[in-house]
Amino acid sequence: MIRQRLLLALIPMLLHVSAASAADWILVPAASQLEFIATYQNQQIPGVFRRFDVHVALTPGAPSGNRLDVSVFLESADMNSADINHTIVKPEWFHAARFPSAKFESADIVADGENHYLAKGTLSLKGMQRQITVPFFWREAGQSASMNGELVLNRADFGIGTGEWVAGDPIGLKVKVRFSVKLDKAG
Amino acid sequence: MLRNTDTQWGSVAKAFHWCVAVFIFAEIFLGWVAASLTLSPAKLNLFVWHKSIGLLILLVVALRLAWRLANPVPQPPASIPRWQRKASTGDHLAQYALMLALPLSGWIIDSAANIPFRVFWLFSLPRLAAPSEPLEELAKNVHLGISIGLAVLIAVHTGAALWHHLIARDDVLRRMLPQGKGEP
Repeated sequence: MIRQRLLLALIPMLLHVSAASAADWILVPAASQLEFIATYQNQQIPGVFRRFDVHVALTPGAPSGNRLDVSVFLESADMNSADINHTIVKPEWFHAARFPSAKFESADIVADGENHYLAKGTLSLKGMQRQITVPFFWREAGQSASMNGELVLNRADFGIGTGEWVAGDPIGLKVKVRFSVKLDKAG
Repeated sequence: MLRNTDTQWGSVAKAFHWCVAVFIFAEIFLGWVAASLTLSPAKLNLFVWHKSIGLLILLVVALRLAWRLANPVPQPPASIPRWQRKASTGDHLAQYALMLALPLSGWIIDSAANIPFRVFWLFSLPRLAAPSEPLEELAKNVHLGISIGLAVLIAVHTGAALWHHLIARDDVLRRMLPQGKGEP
């Protein structure tokens, strides 16, 4: 009985050890930026998400145990225009009241050149799930790391822009997402 | 006859007058409809027209003022009393001031709202102000106030022109008509 309890108590420790085989990294929000660039009649209209979280478990060279988890609080979208900011959270666009955050989860990170990785995973946005690949540069120096990259999403894949906005004009379908993130080693 | 004389409006002054008149009525209509719609592609397009024509008015009124300063201004008939001359001058001056202030206040709204905009879908203009919601609200109220003020001045102006034509039976309205001539 006592031995059984001891073994049970060991399980979380073992799990913890296996999870820690990849180094854990946590976001430094003040030094990080997550931009999205929409288009209006082919003009680029930049915006940022003010609140988001990134958690990385990555050991360069390790084939498994790597993870990338991102949460983005859609209410925090800021396109530097009060009118647009009021509109973008409405049901036609992000529907932030019903879907407060977007999530990207990847447990499949593969190296793709020097300091460059591909994170394959699921993006959940506005109630839709899509498999996407997030490419990024990763540079580590001691206790801190930087992560940069960009990708293009199609807003139609996520039902963003409904009704009269479904067409790619005047608001384009493609939205560029660009991130420049600083992380600190956990613990 | 392109230039004005002491008794006649030249064709350039007439063209300025009637172009601006048509633009202003178009602007009131476009602004009213666009502001009352909920946000949609149609609303964005109406606002592109409204903003573009407003900036065209700003340009045309600036040219019109320059032309006016470089030309004689036809005088009212000798029978018109002093107070009416003063009222007429005041109304005209105020209309010029508001025709400049109205597009400028609109440009400030556009800058503060920071909605992307290209004049007639062709080119963008520099911002007059940084993006700011309080400034946008203030400028919207000023824009509406100026437009009501201009509408009142235009009503007085139109009423006075009709009075000249129908009651005083002089040539003040007729000489501004495209083919009209004043009595020499």
